[in-house]
Amino acid sequence: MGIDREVRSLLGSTPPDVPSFTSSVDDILRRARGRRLRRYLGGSIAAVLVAGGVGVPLALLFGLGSSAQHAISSPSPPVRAVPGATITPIPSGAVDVAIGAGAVWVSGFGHVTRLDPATSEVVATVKTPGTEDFSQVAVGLGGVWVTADGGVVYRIDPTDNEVVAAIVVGGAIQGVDTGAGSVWVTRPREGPGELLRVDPVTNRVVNTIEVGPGPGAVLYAFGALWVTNTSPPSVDRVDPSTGTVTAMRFTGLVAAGDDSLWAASGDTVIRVDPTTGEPMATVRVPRAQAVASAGGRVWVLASPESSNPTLFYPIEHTAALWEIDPSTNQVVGSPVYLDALQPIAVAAGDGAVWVADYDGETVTRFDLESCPGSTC
Amino acid sequence: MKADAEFERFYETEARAVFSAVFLLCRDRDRAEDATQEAFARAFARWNRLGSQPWAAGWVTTTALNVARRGLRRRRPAPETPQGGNPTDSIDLWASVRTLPPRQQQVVVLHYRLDLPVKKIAAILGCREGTVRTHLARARGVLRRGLEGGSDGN
Repeated sequence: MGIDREVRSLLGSTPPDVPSFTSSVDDILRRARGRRLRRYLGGSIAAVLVAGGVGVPLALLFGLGSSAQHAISSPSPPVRAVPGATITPIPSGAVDVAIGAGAVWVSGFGHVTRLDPATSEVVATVKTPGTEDFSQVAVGLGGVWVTADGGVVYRIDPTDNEVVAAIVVGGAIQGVDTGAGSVWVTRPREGPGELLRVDPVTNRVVNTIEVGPGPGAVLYAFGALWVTNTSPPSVDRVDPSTGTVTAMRFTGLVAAGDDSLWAASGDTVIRVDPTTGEPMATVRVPRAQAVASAGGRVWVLASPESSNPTLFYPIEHTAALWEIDPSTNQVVGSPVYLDALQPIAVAAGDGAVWVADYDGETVTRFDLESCPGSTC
Repeated sequence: MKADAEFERFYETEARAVFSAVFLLCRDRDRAEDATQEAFARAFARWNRLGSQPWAAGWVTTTALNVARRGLRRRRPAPETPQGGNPTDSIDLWASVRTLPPRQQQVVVLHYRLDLPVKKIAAILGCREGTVRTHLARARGVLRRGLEGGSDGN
């Protein structure tokens, strides 16, 4: 009782050396206006990049760099109450989300946050210095892997939520996934990019494979690695046993589900035969950004709508989560509109779909039992 | 763009306290002011949803602390201790607070400076009340040692 009272007394009072705070509420409004202008201008470049097909990851990163915040004055429709949706604040930020090892993992600024997949509660926060806007997270091979500044790949032991290795591969690494007994990391550089193969036993790089320019996300599925490049947009298929790289005829951020690959690009989601690499179907989904699949269902995260036809000025409550029925390649019902201005990643599994919102620093869990696509 | 009266009142009431908390943790006036402005600008942007929340001040404080902390990594390090002047006991204790992990710092600020109960802190930080209590207990242990060390030194 004594220590508590003493601490409260000492910390509750303001020391005399604290300078005065001179900002007025008008300064706040100016800042809000300035941010909106930055968003407007920064977003316009992002829109040009997207329109030019530079790809979702780069466009997102550009947007993140321009201090993304909620739109301020755009009138917007009220958010519909979504049954079964749980929004969890992530104080260290939400950049990427992955499911595995009995948990949901969210990469953020300097931390990886572990959520309970059933309740969406934060159960652990793992310190990962140098994880930033670009950091991606993957689960596999007994570890949780996240890319960080300085070319560091952190390996987290999910049994005790401790970082057990900080693997320095160097460079501006970005994407990460596990498969074929290895950890795979993308590394953009001048000209062609690189796909690094890391041995999870020795935690060392054992192979470097040249891929297309600006590699971002990497996915291991159907016995191959699928690398989404951004400069210009392309997708490479990499054979992990031979290192052979084959350029695909589709582009977009790739996910796997229902025996197919799904690539989100522009206003479409392309379903691809993973054995031939050939498109099988095209589903129209406005502003398709990323895809996730679980339990025979396919979910598409759509970017927010812009209030300007040529500039990207996101409107609140226009980002959306769509469902595609893989048996018909048709959209199911109506989309769920998200209370998020910058949804950045989606993952599905354990009876739920998870959406990370960079701007709001939240993760939203959509319970698939109480929130089937057509009734959300 | 006009601030509604409620937001303006909220700002006038809380801004100084938010700024003080951030400054006491980062010891950099520019950074603290910048982070405080940023946090309130974010609050303004979502005021229609935030304004009715009883933990709005805690939300702004936590946001400001996060903004300042993120800025810390990208900018030059701030001086660890103030130059000159006569440090008071409370400044010594803030030095101890600065050695805590970020989450414990947030909990300490929200609990001891904003006088928020554990339940509200848990809501703001998105964690269980037990987690907040654990952070507080660990933080108290460090602060107790800080106080004892300060007494010994005097």
